Amino acid sequence: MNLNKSKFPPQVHEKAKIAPQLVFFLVIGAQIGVGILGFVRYIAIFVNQDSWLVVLAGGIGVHLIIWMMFSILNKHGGDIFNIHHQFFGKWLSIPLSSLLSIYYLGTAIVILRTFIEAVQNWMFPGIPTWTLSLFFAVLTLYIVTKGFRVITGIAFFSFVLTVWIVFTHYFPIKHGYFINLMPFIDHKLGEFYQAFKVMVLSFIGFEYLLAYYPHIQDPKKAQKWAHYGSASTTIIYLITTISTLMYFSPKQLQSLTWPTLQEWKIVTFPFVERFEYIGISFFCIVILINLVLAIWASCRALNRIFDINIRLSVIPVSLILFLAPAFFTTRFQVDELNNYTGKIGFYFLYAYIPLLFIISIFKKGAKK
Amino acid sequence: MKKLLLLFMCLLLSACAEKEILDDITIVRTLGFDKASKKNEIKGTINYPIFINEQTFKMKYLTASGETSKEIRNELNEMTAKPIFIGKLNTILFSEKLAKEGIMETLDTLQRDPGVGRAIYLGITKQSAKHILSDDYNYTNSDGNYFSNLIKQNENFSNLPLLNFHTFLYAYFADSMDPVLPYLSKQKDAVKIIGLAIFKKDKMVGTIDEQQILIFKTLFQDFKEGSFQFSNKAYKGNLEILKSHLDIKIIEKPYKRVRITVDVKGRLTEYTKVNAGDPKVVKSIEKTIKKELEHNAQKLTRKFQKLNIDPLGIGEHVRSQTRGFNLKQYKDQYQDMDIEVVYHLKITESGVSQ
Repeated sequence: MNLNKSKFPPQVHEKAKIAPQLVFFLVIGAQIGVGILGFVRYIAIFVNQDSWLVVLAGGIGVHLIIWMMFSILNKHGGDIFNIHHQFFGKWLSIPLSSLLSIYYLGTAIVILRTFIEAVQNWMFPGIPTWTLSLFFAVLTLYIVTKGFRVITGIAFFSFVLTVWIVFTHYFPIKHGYFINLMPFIDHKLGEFYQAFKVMVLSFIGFEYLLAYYPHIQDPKKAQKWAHYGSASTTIIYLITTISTLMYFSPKQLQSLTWPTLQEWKIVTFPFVERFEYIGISFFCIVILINLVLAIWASCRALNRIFDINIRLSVIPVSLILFLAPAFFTTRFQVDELNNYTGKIGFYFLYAYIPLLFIISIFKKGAKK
Repeated sequence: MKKLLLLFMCLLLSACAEKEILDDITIVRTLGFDKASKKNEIKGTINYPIFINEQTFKMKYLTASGETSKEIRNELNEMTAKPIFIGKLNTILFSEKLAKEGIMETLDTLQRDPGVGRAIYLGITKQSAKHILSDDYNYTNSDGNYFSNLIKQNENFSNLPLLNFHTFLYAYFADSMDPVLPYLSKQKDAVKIIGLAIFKKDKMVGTIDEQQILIFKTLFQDFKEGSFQFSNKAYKGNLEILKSHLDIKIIEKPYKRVRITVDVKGRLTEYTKVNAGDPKVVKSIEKTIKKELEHNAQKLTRKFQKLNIDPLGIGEHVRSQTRGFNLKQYKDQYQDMDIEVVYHLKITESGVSQ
């Protein structure tokens, strides 16, 4: 084991690198996940008709963080693990990077458990948690061992295959009431702040960038695409928020666990009467890319800290992904799990990354 | 070799999920609920097709009572040869007697069931729901779609406002809005929509009669199809509505005066004793209809205020136009609020002949 690996900037073979434009798909693919099925309810608790504003603010916040991440990474080269080493020294960087690895794995577990819960409630009430988590864990294991370029390919297909789902919001908007969005800005600043904090959970995913930055050819060019990706996410979230707010009366919205799935109940085509079953099936693809990226980032962290080959470390990591969801059995527990992850994500993005940014201003950059 | 193995695995996996073959389940199309003779119990009736041979099938109904709808379902399951599935449910009917005591307890179970759609129709029946479901109306209901098609057709092409399970829940959960449902009655060998049942939260408190349905619709939503029967001493006729647009505004704050403005565009399709080619006559007809619409609409809003219900969702409009909306104060003032109704009517055509 070579504990000094993160001392040096990572060496990625040119053939293993991806084009900067593809960062668009990686960002959007990692951000949009199972959260979109229910996030509107959680922000509407605090700000109701003004929820769309919080989504917009959240999106803008993400742009700021992306900008900070790129300026840190561009200045010091390498990836977050190398930066930890540069900023905090060898012994402090190991626990910090390990925490980051656990955080990445944690997000994967949250996504998987939440999705399995939706499937159990909507499609197969009797299905045991482990069957679905086994399915996803094996698939994740397989994709991650194939390397980062394959993951990028999955991100691309995940986007292309599922982006049309946005258009299904046409139906609830058609049947909805615009008055549910009025009056504009009728809440206290404190309420907005609380809603903003909750909203962060839906936006997390772009921080994997800290790990895959060295895999991008000409990474400085990728910043633009990361911003485009995040902006697209914001637009999709905005559409979802507006259609949900218009379609449900405020208290009705609070009575629903997955408002987006409920909206799909009125989407009918001549060839399919109940769209929610199609929608939830397509979400398998959406969350697959979430999982793959999170697990890859987690393994990559282990590789950079302890010099363990990703092909080796992915086996125990996906074993955890397979086992962990079974420990959360009730709705309440899943809710709590989401809450905590959201909080950790909030502090990670809005406290830790700005901190790194400030340090990076005063630290000398990497030699060219 | 690898590919062969993959193919083999696909074949193996294909039988994993629990199968629900159409021939082996009872597909419930309509549910009906009545008050049972025992206290606290309700009576549920299911309406489902049985297949006689490949092409023909027949509707059959079964009834059971219990305290909850789950209990009824279990009872019914004990009577059917094939397990009951409600994924293809298209209508839920409640008898008026039951509706007066509240229907949310029953609907809540169905609302929680992911298998039940939101675009399905609800209806209140004058007679018992069982009575309505026990007939197949000379094969009209032989496919189990009769009730849902009846309501759907009337919503799309006639005077009935758009009402379904979702709109019911929307209004039920809204702070200041109450649900409305179609009110059905069995005639000789058909079921007829004889009005609207109005609710206070989930309890039925009254009805709106047939002639008023259109007026209600103009106050309730925007739409593009409907017809209005008008008459005065000199003439009578029919106005076909081509477009109706609704706007609710606060005139005097807080919660004192509200104005409902409805823009109606229509054409005369039937009129007697007058020459509708004459612009002067058309103007006078316009005036008559406007008066009649306004008069009837006022009658409706007064009725709602008297019952202290708000099926039109005026409260929702007021909330959307008021910063720092005070629900309690609004509710206290609702019954004394001044609700004006103004119609702007435009007759564009009078049929193909002069």
